[in-house]
Amino acid sequence: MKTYLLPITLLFILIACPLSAATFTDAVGRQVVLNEPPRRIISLVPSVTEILFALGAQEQLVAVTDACTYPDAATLLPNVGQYADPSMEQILLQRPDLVFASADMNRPDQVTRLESLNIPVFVVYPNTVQETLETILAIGQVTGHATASEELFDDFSRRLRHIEQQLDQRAKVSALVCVMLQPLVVAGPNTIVGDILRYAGAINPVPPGTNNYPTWNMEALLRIDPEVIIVSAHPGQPAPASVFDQWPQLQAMREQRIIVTVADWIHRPGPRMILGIEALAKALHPDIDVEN
Amino acid sequence: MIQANNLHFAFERTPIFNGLDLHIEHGEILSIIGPNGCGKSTLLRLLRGHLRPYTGDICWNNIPLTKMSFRNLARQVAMVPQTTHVDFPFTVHEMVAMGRYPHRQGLLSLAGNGDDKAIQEALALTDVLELAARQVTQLSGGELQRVLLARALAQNTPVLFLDEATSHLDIDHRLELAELLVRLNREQDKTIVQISHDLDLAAAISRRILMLSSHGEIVALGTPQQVMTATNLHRLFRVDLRVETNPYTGTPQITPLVNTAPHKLDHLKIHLFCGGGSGRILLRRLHLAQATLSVGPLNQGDSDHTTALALSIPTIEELPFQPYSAPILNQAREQITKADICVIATNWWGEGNLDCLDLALAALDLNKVVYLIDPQQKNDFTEGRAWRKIEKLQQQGAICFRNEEHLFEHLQAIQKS
Amino acid sequence: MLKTDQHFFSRRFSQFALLLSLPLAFYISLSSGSFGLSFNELTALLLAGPGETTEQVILWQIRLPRALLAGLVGAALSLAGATFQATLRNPLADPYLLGVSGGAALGAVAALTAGFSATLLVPIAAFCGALGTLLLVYLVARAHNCSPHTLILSGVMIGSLAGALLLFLLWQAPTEAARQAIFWMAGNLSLAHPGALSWSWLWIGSGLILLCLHAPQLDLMTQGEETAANLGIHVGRTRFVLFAIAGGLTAAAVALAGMIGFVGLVIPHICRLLWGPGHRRLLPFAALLGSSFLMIADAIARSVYAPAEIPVGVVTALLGAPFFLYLLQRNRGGM
Repeated sequence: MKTYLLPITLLFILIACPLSAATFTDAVGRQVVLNEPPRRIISLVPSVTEILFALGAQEQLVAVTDACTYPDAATLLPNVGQYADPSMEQILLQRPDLVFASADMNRPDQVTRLESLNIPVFVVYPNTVQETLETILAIGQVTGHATASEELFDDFSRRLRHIEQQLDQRAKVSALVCVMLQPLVVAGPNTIVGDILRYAGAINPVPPGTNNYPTWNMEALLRIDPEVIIVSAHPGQPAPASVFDQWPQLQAMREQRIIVTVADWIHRPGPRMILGIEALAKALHPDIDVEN
Repeated sequence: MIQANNLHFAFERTPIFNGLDLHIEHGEILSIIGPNGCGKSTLLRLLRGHLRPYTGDICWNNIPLTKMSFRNLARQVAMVPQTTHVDFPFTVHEMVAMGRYPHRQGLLSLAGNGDDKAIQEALALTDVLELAARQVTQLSGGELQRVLLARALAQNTPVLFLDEATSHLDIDHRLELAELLVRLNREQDKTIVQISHDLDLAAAISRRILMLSSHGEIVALGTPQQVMTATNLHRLFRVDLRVETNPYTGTPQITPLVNTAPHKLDHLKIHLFCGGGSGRILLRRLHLAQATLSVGPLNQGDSDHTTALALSIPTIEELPFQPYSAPILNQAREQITKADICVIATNWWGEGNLDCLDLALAALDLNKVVYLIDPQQKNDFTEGRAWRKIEKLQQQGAICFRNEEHLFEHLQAIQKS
Repeated sequence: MLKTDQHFFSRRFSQFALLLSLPLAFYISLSSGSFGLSFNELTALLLAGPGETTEQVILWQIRLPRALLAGLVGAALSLAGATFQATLRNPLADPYLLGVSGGAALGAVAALTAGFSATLLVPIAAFCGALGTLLLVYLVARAHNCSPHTLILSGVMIGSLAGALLLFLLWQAPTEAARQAIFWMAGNLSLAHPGALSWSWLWIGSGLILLCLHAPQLDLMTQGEETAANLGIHVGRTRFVLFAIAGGLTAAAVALAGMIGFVGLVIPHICRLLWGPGHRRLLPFAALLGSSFLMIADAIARSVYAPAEIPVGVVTALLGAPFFLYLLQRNRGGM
């Protein structure tokens, strides 16, 4: 009996995996089998789109979502619909051999649906700066741009270390990130924004809680009175001045330390995140020097 | 007091009043009687101004209704509605106090001196003084009707409208109410217009009675003795009523003749011609009397066809909106040979159902008995052809009956012989 | 007789409790938040007057306006709810029934998605949206027969129409605007512009006075339109006036604090259960109770997860529904 088993098993393995096939494990632990470096990639995640462009994989990218606004070239690519709710039909029409999805925006059933249509799906789930770096590496390997991704990784890590060295021994500054101003919604510590704050030499005054982006009010802000207030400027928000000018008591107001950052720099776990970290570090500790 | 001239009114496309004239005199008690759906309440609502007549005008004391303000009208007339349901748990006192609203003055409509007296008196007159603190949502139907009457009395108006205000009352309160109405009429000279189903009581207290037919026409208007005749009541309610004179009051007293022995016509085989609802009563009553019944030809979807189908009566049916075809007429002819009696209940003649009269003529040739119910020349829309056939039928022995009731009496006699 | 006495006593007692509830709610609202204040501390701070210390700033510039705002919004919603319930003769009526919520949300979200996130334009758009929808519902219903049935039906229809447009706007809106719109729809007292207090006092106060002047008419409107007319009310005109006042109150509440649910539905019911349906009493009592209720609910929303805030609508429903069910259980006499 046993003598038959081995050849049969081997045969199955041979049939199941062509020689050029490679298996990857994605961020949620799924096994993704790809035959060869993919040639028709769809990115459902704005940060992945940015990474693909940064790695020089834009030739393989065939479609993106309407949230993929950077770089400009990405907006010229075919569009498969909304970030959280892409159109299955549009995806199929592009005949992709790999789809990048995000674990927080794309529902699991969308992933299973694509899988059942024999489209490999690679799920990313970066929640920290470190995981963002790992995501860059993983994407490089999956798309056949391992070298480029290692270069990007090294550059990113080097700049991070540079900031870390500069900030070493320095007192940390308490800084609050306001995601929305009306109502006041702030970023908690267990978010990627919270992680960026740590790298930029800040203490996040928001206590950890069940809600990662809790709603606050002016009373809480006055009470906690952070040294710096960071506003990520999303379109459709009131100007920070119109909100904070009424509260001259705020330390950040008195010392004119209300910083407006590019929202995408701190919210998108992609290659531009280092720009956000550097900009915040520089704004929080003006006497340090960063590379660019 | 209230003058209505040439009133026309209709709900959607169903005309109710066609040129109704009515004059309600000051200080009289007028009762409106008539079958369900004849427009009694509608008439009251027209007179009160809740509904606008299509044409015609209504004047109160020679002032057109349209020129009177709401408040002014509310000081002229109070209305006791039919309602037996209230949603909000006001106390009885609060409810009756609402009747004082049209008399209140000023921005705040605060209660004045006269208000409390009027409220107490109204509560006492209607025997609800003891209920004053109770919530109206907890009252019985009869108690509520008395409270609503009290509210109307608190309104202290020269005219009082009652829309079946006694339907839920016990016999003692009903008589009390009748007495109260008469007293208010005599002592305070109140004009009272009431809708009533209680014919005896209406006859007893009214100075005049207005009898409406089911089409909203005035059947009779006059003193109870003039109006409450057996003929009038029969025309109205299609049941036999005996009218006697009450030995104590001298007013007409009505006793329904309830036939406790149900009609039984199980020996009779009857074929019925009808359509457009003309056979509804006969289909139901002949079916209940267990006669062997067949009907047709009828177009599918005709209301009589629906009734026949619901009662599982054998029906010769034609497609909707089609003239009767030859095979269908043959079927009908065959069916008629099995019957002893043919009844023509059809009350409207056109090209489509003219063939039925030929079938009836053929039935006469076969020695069947043919009955007609109230044929009318004005309902002939075939330029006289149908009417000539009907006359021919009558010449050859078909018998006419005024209504279904008469036919039934006749059938009963046949059954017995 | 004993029973009536007891009833009278409990009614007097509950009226007394109601009068006490306002200062109590005010105290709770001022003393709670991201940090608690004891009675003595609060008194000291109040006596010290507005000042520069954080506590003074928080008390005088944040908690005080917000408590007053909560009181005003609560009163406005309860008054509007009581009016709609009486004129529509429907116990399920609330200020948002006649499409007001859909219209207000549509107005606000339209302003938000058009990029006008500036503080004053969104509430103005919400106000106009609310009143505009109410007027539309009224006109549609009047073209028919304006019965409560028709009003409610056309209100629900136009409300869903506004809801559909709203969904479309949210779907095509930038993510940030959509998120902001969701906060706005859930109701939040921190949305109000600080300057709004000055005019909302006048607006809601005059709404209260106007409604109280119409108390007898409201009583009669509960009896149905024909009866109201029988008793001398110009039903069409009265209904229009009442809707205009209640609509103005609702629109103001919505513009100030978004859509706070449950207050307008449950407070009038509680007042009716406790003190009867007569509007001369019901209206001021509902305004009082609504104020206290929303102040307390907002204090809880601010302090449970301080410094974070939970949506105040969650608290109003969690507090209001069980209390209402308890009262309903106690007087089974009917609504």
